[in-house]
Amino acid sequence: MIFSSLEFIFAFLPVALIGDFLLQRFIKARNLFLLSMSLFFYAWGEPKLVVLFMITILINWFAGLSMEGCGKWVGILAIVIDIGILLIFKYLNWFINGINEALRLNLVVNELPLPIGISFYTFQAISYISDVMTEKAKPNKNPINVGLYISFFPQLIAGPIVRYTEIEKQLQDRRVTMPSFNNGVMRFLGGFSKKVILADGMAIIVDKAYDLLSTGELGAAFAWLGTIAYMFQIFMDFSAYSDMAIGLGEMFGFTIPENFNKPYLAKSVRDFWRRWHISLSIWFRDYVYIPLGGNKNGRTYFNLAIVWLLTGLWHGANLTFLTWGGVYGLLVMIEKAFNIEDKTDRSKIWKWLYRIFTLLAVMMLWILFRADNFEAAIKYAKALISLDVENVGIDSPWMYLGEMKYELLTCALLSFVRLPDKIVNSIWFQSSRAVLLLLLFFVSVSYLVKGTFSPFLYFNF
Amino acid sequence: MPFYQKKVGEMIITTAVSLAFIIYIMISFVLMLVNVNAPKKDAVTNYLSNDIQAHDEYINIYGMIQRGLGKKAIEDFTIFKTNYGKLTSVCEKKDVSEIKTAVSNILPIFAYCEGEEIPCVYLTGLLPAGEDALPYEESDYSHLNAELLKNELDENGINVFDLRNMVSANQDEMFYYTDHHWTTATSFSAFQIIVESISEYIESDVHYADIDKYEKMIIPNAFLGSYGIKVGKYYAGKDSFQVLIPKGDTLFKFESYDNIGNLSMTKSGAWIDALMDQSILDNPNYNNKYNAWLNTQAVENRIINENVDNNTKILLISHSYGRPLAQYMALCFKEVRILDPQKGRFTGNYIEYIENFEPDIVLFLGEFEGEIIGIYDTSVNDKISQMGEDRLETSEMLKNLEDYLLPVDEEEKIDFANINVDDHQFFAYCLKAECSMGNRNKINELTKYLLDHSDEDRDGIPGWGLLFEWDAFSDGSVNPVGQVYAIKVANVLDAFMDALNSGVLDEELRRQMIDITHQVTMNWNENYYTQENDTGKSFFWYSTSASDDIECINISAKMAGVFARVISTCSDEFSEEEKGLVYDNIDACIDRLLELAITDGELVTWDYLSRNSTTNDCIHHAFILEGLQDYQLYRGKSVSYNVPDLNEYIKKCTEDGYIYSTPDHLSYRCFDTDAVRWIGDREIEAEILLNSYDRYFNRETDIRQMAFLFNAFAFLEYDKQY
Repeated sequence: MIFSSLEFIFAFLPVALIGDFLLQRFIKARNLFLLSMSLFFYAWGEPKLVVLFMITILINWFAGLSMEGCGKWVGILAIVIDIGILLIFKYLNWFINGINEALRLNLVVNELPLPIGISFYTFQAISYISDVMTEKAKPNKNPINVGLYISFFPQLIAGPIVRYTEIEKQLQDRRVTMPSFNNGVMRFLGGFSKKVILADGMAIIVDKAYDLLSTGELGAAFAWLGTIAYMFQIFMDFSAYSDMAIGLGEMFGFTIPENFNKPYLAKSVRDFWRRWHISLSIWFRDYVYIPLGGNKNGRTYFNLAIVWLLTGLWHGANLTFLTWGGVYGLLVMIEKAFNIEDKTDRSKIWKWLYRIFTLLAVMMLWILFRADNFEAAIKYAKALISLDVENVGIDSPWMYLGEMKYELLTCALLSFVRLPDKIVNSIWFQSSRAVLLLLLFFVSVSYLVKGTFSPFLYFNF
Repeated sequence: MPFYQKKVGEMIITTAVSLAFIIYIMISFVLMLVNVNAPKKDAVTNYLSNDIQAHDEYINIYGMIQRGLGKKAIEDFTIFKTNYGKLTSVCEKKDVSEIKTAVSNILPIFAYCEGEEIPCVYLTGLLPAGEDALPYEESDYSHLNAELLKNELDENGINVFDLRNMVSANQDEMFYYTDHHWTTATSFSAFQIIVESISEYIESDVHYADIDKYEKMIIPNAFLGSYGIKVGKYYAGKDSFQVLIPKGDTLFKFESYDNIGNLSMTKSGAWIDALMDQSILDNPNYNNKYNAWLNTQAVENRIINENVDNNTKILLISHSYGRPLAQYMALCFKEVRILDPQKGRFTGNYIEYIENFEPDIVLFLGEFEGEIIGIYDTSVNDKISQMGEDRLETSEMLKNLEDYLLPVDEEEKIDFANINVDDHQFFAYCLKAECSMGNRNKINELTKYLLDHSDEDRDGIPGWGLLFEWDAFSDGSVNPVGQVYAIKVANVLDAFMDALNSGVLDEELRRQMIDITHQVTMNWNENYYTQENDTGKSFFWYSTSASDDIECINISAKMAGVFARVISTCSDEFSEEEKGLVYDNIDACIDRLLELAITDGELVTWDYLSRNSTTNDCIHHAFILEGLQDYQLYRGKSVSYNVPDLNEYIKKCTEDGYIYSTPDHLSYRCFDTDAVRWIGDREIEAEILLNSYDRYFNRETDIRQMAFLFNAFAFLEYDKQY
């Protein structure tokens, strides 16, 4: 089930809210109820693989509990199992195909379905075990609490990835106040309309661009339009999901960490990753980079390379993702080695030029991210510099630009403009925003009833 | 204003908004609980997609927003608003080869008529806005395509009436603004021109060709057509709907037939009473007024004018544009019949129809925006051309069918990417055929394909169905692409059991297939089976859609037979409890089936649906016989009939070496040649199959039929059944 669906809004959410409200005073029953709802939420889309998911929860709960008596090896074993499951379901087919191709073998493995959100919930499970192993947190004796931490439906499928220590106390005690509930609703409504109206609107341009690419009809103008649209689409889509997750979290009494901070305003590639998918960067920092030694022992760049290749691979079993992560790693290492952030900070012009370079680099790397394979990515990049400005067929880039101009403009405003706190915190802004969000909710529902919708991009990861 | 006052003010507004949101979703939830008829995923999804409260208002809001944003293109850039406000679609440029193929598909109709000296006239379409009226200088090749098409028709010597040059309405009055159809004024104008032009060939009464003989009825701002319905009235506006009602006494008889030739409606009376659904015109909430023409019926309609002095018979082969045209033409001639060639509508053979009806003239109006649309079965010519030639051996026919249906790549593996079929059943029949032939590789490949494509609706539950949208019972509930249907499931499971018995399945595949078979069997028995003690109904649903919770007798029979076979073949996979459930269901289904049998002497038949007495055609009769036979064989229980003796109905559907849908309508072909197996006379069966080969082979539009034939031939060649 996804948040931007009529089933979620009009069937699942009312039941979840009523149940949570009625059980406010009974924390154990409340957690059990939310765990059940989360498993139902998952089973709606993955009726078979929910069993695998439940097994993962039980293994990690049991491992956390057993570490006190049996030692840390149980935790290590649990992490190996978590990663093993992830490797089997997400990477095995890709790996076998690679071996077959490289060694001209004919190894056959049944294609396994990719469980939705496996990368996200596996990382949360590892976070729990690691925090217990490093004694940052105590093992939770109650399997319901561990289950709820791993499976909590708002962030189950596409994050933000919540570290166990961030939420440990809230599992035992949390309160929903009227202001926090209101904030949650506003945040959810904002994400909902952002996804339905903007992200899905951008998807129309992007899908057309890649359709034209596959039929060899893509001209330069449409290629640029498609690139810009994809830059907006992926941000609107993913940040909308995070907004909805954070909003829902507040409605149910949880504080879920922020995941985005105007990433396209980044002054460098390193800065971009401090603003984009923040919870993933922090996870890799805390659970991979630092355990590898971080910037000690003179292995900084080696450790960075590992982290960035893993970041690429985390997004999907494909060489394009691996390369995408690798290139980011390289750019980060260059920036670190030459201290570029400090140097560009000293000159306004260089700062702006480097900001533009960063944005262009991010845009170009999104092509690699979106394309099905290298060949398609190269073809797309060639189209960007092609002399054939117009497409071959009847699909004109100017028509798409003309039709989607307001959506594009809104995406640009949301991506590049940061309003002063004074305005944002003013009563008229907050009040009119609330009313606008309610109106946008009805508009978004009308888009869903009309049937203009596509799934979240980060469901694939 | 003090800080705390600001905060309180803000709090009041955000709380009001939050409450409004919560109250709205709670009300919607309660309405859903009240309206959803079954607590199932599909039922919830269907309700929210199609019947959610204020559905039409939401569409109107959507359209209003699009209008506010100044959008000129809707539906993913497939429909455009012209500079004068009409909604219209645009066309890609057609290849010459596509145009030649389209013309060659209808050519036999003209050739046959020429041979029989029946005038046959091709009426061109009219074209909506040209490129000049489109936004963003959008290209539209419909005018060019229409020109290329006309050249091709001319080259083939077809008699073309080019309505484009004759109908004199202004461009902005020619079509509805919210719909793709001609306006009534355009239809009437076309009618006048056609009647005048064809008077040289046939006897006609031109009294009603004069517009002064009509009264105008205009329903203002009442019509939201096919384009407008997608974006609502605030974007598209609404058209006025006009009907020109003939003055004076008129008396008509109207008959409508469904796509297996059953009479589905009769009416008689004055022109408007007999031919138009006036409840649609009177209902202010019914948007698509165009449906009122010919009482919403769209497969085969017959209009008999009881007051006219001539005996002229007209056959109009036309898509929906011809419906008002047929109504007006009926005023001038004794009988007008209209056949709609669009997919899912008239499926009979056009040559045979003309042969039986013997019209005085045939009018063809199948062009839409420069393209001939529809499916035309004209294969009598194939039969005539091949009858005199030496027939191939059946083994060669079988090989030809296999090569055509299951092309292979360089590695001799089935090239699924090049098989253009939108029905899983196709692969099931191919698998059955390959099982008869014992072809190990293809059995494994086809089984794997069906397993890999067992969840096209992506609900995580395996099943098989159709890869196109379909309104199975024409009740407005359109099932989406990938919807699972019982008959497809039954035939796939049947094929799986054949594959299992063949003993050549790879172990892993065999295991996977058994697991899926188990899941599918239990899913249907637990979720898509209805037993009503008050009405006595016991049946499996027609599809997994809640709106198809309908007792369709042959479906239950076929499912009962297949589930009996599954339990018998994979007995170890089912717990005693599961077997008990399945047996209870299928026993009740068969008991119910036997209760519903209609006996007339030796002839035993069933209705198609229990809720009304619609005749079963021989395809579905054969499904019932298959179900009964499998039930007896695998459940080990006898029924009160000797199943092979129930074939009388199928025998009556055969004539001169061909098999037809029903005994009464011998121009409607039966496409499932598998039914032939029940005739019981080897010579007749073989003759029908050989003729069917001549009829269907190498015809892309008949690829599904060829799969039935492939299976039947495989039986013939390998099982020596014939």
